[in-house]
Amino acid sequence: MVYLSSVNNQGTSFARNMFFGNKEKEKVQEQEEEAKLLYTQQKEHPVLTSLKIEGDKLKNAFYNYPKKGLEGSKNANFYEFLTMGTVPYLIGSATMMAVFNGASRFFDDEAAASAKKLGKKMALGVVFYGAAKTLSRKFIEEPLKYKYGIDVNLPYKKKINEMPEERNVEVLHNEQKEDVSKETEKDKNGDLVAYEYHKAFESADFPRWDLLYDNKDIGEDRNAYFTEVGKKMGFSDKDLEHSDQKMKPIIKEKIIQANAFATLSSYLWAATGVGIAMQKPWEGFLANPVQRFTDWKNGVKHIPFVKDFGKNLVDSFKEFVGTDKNGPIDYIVNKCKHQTVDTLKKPEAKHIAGRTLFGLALGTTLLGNFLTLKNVNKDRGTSSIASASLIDDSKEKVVC
Amino acid sequence: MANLLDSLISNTGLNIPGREKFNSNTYSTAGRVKPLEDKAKLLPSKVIGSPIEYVKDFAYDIVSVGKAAKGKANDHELGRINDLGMKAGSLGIASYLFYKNPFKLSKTMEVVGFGSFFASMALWPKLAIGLPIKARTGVDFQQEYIDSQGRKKGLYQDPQYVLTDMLPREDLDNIGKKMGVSENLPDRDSFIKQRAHKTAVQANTLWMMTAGLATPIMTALSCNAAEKVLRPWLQNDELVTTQEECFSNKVKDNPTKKEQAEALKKFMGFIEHNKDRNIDDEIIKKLCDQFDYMIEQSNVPSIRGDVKRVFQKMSYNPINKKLLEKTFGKQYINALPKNDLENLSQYMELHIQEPEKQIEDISKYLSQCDNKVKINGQGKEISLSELSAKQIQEKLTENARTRKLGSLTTQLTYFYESFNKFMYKKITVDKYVNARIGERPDSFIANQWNKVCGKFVDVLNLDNPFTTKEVRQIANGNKELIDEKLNNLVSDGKKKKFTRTVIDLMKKIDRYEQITSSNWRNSDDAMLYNLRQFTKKELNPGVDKNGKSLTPPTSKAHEVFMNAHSRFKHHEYFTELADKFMSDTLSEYEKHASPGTLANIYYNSAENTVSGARSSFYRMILTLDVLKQAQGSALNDKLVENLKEVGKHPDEETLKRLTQICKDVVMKATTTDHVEKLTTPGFELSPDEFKVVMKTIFQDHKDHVNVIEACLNSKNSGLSEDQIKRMTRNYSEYRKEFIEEIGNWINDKTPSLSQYNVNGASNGTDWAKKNNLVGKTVYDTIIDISKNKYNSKKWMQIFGGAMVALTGITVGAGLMFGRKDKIEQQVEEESRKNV
Repeated sequence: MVYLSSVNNQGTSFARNMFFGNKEKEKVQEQEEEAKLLYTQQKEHPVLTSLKIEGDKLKNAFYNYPKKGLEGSKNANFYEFLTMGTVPYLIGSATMMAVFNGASRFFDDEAAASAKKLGKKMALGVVFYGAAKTLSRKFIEEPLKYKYGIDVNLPYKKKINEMPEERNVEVLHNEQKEDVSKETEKDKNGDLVAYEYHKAFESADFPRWDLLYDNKDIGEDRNAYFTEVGKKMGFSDKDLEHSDQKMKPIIKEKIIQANAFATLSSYLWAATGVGIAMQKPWEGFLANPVQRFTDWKNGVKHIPFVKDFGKNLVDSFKEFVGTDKNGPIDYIVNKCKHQTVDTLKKPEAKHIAGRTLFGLALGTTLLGNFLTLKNVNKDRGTSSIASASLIDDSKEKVVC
Repeated sequence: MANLLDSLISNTGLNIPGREKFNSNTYSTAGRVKPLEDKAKLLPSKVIGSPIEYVKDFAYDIVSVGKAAKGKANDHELGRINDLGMKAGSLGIASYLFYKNPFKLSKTMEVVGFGSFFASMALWPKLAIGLPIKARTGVDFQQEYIDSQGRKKGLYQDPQYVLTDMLPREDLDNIGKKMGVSENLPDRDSFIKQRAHKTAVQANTLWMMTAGLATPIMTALSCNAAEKVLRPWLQNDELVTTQEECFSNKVKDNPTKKEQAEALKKFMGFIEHNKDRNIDDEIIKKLCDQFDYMIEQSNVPSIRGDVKRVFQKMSYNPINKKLLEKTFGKQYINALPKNDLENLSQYMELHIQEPEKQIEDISKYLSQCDNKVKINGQGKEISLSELSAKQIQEKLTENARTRKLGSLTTQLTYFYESFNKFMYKKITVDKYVNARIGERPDSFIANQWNKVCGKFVDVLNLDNPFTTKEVRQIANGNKELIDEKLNNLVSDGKKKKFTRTVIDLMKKIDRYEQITSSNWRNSDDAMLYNLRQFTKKELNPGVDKNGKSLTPPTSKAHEVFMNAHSRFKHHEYFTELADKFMSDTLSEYEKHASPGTLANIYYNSAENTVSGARSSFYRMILTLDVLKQAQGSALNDKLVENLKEVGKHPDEETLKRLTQICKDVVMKATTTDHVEKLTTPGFELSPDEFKVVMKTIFQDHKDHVNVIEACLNSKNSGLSEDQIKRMTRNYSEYRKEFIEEIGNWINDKTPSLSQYNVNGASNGTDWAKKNNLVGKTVYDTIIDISKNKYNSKKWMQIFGGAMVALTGITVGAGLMFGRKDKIEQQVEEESRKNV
């Protein structure tokens, strides 16, 4: 297959070649919305947008997609399969908590107390795992977004035109279609549609560059996004004559680095979270909000949740890395203050393990930061990558 | 192909560089333009992959990380990095918990947990979903392939990119056959592929829906099973290792000499750095911190207090006249009446080891003595008596504690070395003792306890296995149910069962006796003997050439501190420390243990634990014995005889009451009940009745064959004569000892419980022994074991049940997949008609 294309081709949208229904004019309008970049929403309300998206995905993961999948729907796709990955993650977390806590209510007080002690740590471990895994990605993603304006999580809403689920036996004889997928949404053309939330950069092989071109939300200029990123990276106007050509490989590189190291480090932070949850201070922590409320109603006073949590977190971290007494932090602080320097406490094996885990998590994050934030000097001073290559920009060319 | 390409290029009408090359007139592409070679291939389906494959995958993952760091990775590689991260994170958790857990079993279980989590994650879809679906439809929904770029992927992973074309003919035929697709169907292959595709979508969804529940439960269940297998093996390993560390030279010093030297160097560095500072509270705290590493390992945090006291004493200059002169001015002190000066010097001689006390006494005296001496105070001349004792004490303390850290370098260094030397030894013994008698679920003693008592509860099971409800009732303290079960066991109809129970229990107790016996010297397992040998060697007195204990007794550790004392005169703290840590002699201990010394603590706790468990075991046998006697006439006969002996008439009512009391004594009498000579509520015996009951329970009757001995002598016991003799002797000795120690106090004054001290305080050894002889009550033993059984049973019921249910539902659902729906049936019918 050979067809004419310009260097600045935006990529081919599959949906543009797909037509459903009869009203062609309206179809064209719909096609423009095949994928809508949520640039403004993400920029102005990042938390709200991500909550909205995650909420929608969660609802589908637990209800719509399993139903489609178990029926063996022809519309089931890889996105749905991946979205359903949340189900084992959440149910698994709850089951993990239940394995350690579920049976203890049947035990006598003494056994229940000791089971609960471990159970509480395990439950906290599960929560910390999830929290650390999610939040730690931000350590790499946010600096990249702040410094270069590259948002790894830039979302877009994608419309999927679905095929009707025909199950009427009569269909073969009478050609009467009965649409049994009543839950499936329909657009104003009456076509069956489903909406998916993707990230513009979720694929390293096929980033959705097309959504970034000529997007009025980003700027008037056709290459506004690339120019903006390029400027943040310190390229001159001359450099950015063909900013998209210049920036696309660089952005792709940053996205790959950010994704890889955010992923790697997130698991190590999650492990660190579990380690911290396993420390002694949590034994005295009242985590159950219902119990707190009941006690409050009965006039039993507790340390406020946030304060109690914060204190336990700090104490547990100190115990985890063994800096509670004569640890390296005290050592360095005292040394800096030119105070009496204590002998460095010899760490136990568990402290060394804790420090290693924490160090690895921090190390991968810092490495990720270093790679994603490092100055890009490639081809500075040249008008574009294209001009530096053998291909002549001024001429049309054939792309296979 | 060449012509098509050529015509396409010509139609564009463009000037393409190299265009002329494609001109078919000048250059023929025939046979030269070919599609890329198809290197993709299906991978064989396996439940467990080969190790080489894992290594290859791991190498691929590492290369992926390298590529990602350069920003060159593709989607597949990024996906692999996610899996690698998950494994690295989980390995991180397991490794951390491995190092955090103090015991070998819990350490190992962390590794097992890590492994079984990933195994469960991988095996669940293969076993519960993949296998039934493959058996039913022939579709392997986890089938993998390697694409032309060498990337390993799931064949059915992306429902919109299923490469069913890769399926070989035999697989297609197999799927078609299993799914019952008509042979004559036109375009049969497409039909089969479509249905295989659909089945895989369903299977993938089922996997996502069930994995969250299945993986943690499967992990927990497999860890539970693994623990049962690993426990005995690891326990034995721990015993052997700790024993070797204690008693042989196979294991190198821990820490090594180099580490010790480094620690000492650091300590000296600390002194050097602070040599010009007064030994104030801050320095003392920091000095103590230097010892913390050892103290923390020793698990006796109170030692820190002892060490602190030593430094506090060290911080005082000698309390003498010079100090008074320095504090209040020479001329004023010399102006004190002679009488006062003499009294003061006497105070200075007193409590020489306790400078704080000296200062307190002197201050009190100075504030009270009626002198007119004016001293410099608060900028004017005031009388000493105008100052309060507290004020004087503060002034004196301030001046006394001006000793510089540097002035005690030699003493401190020596102390540090001696202390560490001793503590290393102590930690080694601790490990051994902990593995043997530690209060932990996997210690040697805990295992023995569970073996014997668990068996005892098991035999109560009888013909009707305990229901969870019954176990729950017993765990909640339903004693009537225990009585019912025990009475059932001793009933005439259960003679065989009773005999077997006694033999089984006695065998287990006999094994315990041998393992814990001090006399069993040839065995590595002889704990008390080994402990004794070790402490004799390391902590206790030296012996002369003839093997006789040295007098006065000195242990190696004691010697260290006493040497310090003689080397550094006026530093009495070394003596105190020596007294605090060391026992006198082993033999001395056995006669009158002096409390608080480490060696004694070891002995007391070891002996108490061992003998406490032993008595509890024999008490179970005794219970069976008494209940069996009560079942027949033996107990009654004994009571009649013993009542007559004390001049009482054995009327029916008394006999009935005392029979019940005999049963109750063995079943539920606590140490307190015995201390109070069974005058406590529930027993309320008169002294005579007490004697009768004790004799009836614990003494043999000349006319009756001992019940237990009879069981052991039964034909099918499988016991040797020696064994029977030993078992009978031990049981009879236990009863003899009991009546001598506890049941023979008729004329004693009832001692109060306050004298009772399990750690062996003065007059306490006897009490500890008495308490140990009573052991745990049978009710409590059964209730406690039932609690454990109930808890594990309940846990297993909940999660094992959940697993069975989940597996059933999953397999059931899987078998429903791949069935023809109505349209598919219609298609087939249509095709048949057409044929």
